[in-house]
Amino acid sequence: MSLAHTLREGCVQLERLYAELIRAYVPENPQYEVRRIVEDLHNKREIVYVMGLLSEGENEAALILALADAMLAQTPESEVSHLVDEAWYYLRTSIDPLWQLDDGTPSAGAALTYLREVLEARRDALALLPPRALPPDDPGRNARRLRALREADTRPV
Amino acid sequence: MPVAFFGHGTPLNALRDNEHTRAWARFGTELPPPRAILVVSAHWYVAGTKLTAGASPRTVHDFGAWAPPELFAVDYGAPGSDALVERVRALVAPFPVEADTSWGFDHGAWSVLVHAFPQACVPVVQLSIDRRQPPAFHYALGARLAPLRDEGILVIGSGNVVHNLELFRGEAGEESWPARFERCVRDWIIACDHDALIDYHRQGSDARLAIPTPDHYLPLLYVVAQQRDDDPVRVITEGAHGAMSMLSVALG
Repeated sequence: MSLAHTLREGCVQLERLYAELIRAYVPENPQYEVRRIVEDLHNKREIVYVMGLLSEGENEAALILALADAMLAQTPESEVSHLVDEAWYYLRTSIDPLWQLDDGTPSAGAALTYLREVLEARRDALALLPPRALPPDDPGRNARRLRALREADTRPV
Repeated sequence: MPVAFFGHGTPLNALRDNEHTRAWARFGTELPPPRAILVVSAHWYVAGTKLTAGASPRTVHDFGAWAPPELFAVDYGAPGSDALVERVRALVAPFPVEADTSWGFDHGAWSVLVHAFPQACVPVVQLSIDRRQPPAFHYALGARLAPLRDEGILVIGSGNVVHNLELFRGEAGEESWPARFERCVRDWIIACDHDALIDYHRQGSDARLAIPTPDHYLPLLYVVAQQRDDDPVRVITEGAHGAMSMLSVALG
């Protein structure tokens, strides 16, 4: 399997997992079409990172591997070994900050598999958590509040 | 006009009066007044080559909440220069360079400029570092900027030749790996050994510890790419503190 194929396959799997993680994280709210909204979101990786479901080092590694994937997709002869190197550094130091020197060869395939596995584990862990829900609304109180706010608002319409 | 690389260290240097910031200030006063300044900062490390456009780029406070309010209050109000943006684009054409109005002057630029050019009256443009590209690309792009030296434009690279925050408290002393690698880089610059500087990742474990990621090192390649055979090399300041080097050099 070529590096380009490894990167493409791994990055597609990560993109799918980002969407699954966001869906698992967002409270059930079918009337607002959560699935459609999540699917329309751009840059799901950054949203997963903001949600605390990717560490900083994992996020950097995933970002850099996606850049390498995009470069090879656009120009197959692109040099991307420096990107794999950098992603590997961020990933290994996300596990152990003192894992600074590494005598092995950086592996895009291993990095992508590792990211897929940790994200799958986090998705599955989220599914086991009790659903997060806001306290039920009190429509009568909310209506009174909105009317009161309107009456207090003296700004031009 | 010389070209210069500054090891900017912590953003707090913007507020500090120490041996390094005084050396930066001396550099600014001893220089013929530049028409404009082009800064390649470690902190604009993105997927693309871009230039800050517009008349008044903002001051970017690109650090965390750990920083004191005085640092967030710094406003380096130098004007931008769309003329320099267009000149750089012409020099590197047909390679595409985007004129960008979303970024501004980040602390890699202004933490040095507040000392070297405190009046903030010289127009400044920042050039981003395309993180997708290998070191040789950055060296080649830097070489394309060499004519600016004869046009009164000061080109500055701002980063650190040793920059490993994870090991920041680790090593000290003349024989520590940060000090050793700082001396290596200085000697390669003096010897015009650009191949060694470009192939830094092949320079052993000191280099791997000093440059865990390329962002803070690559600005140096834009500077040495403009080095001429007869350029005197002046060490503006140096010193490895923990896992960070303050090595700053002027060429020419």
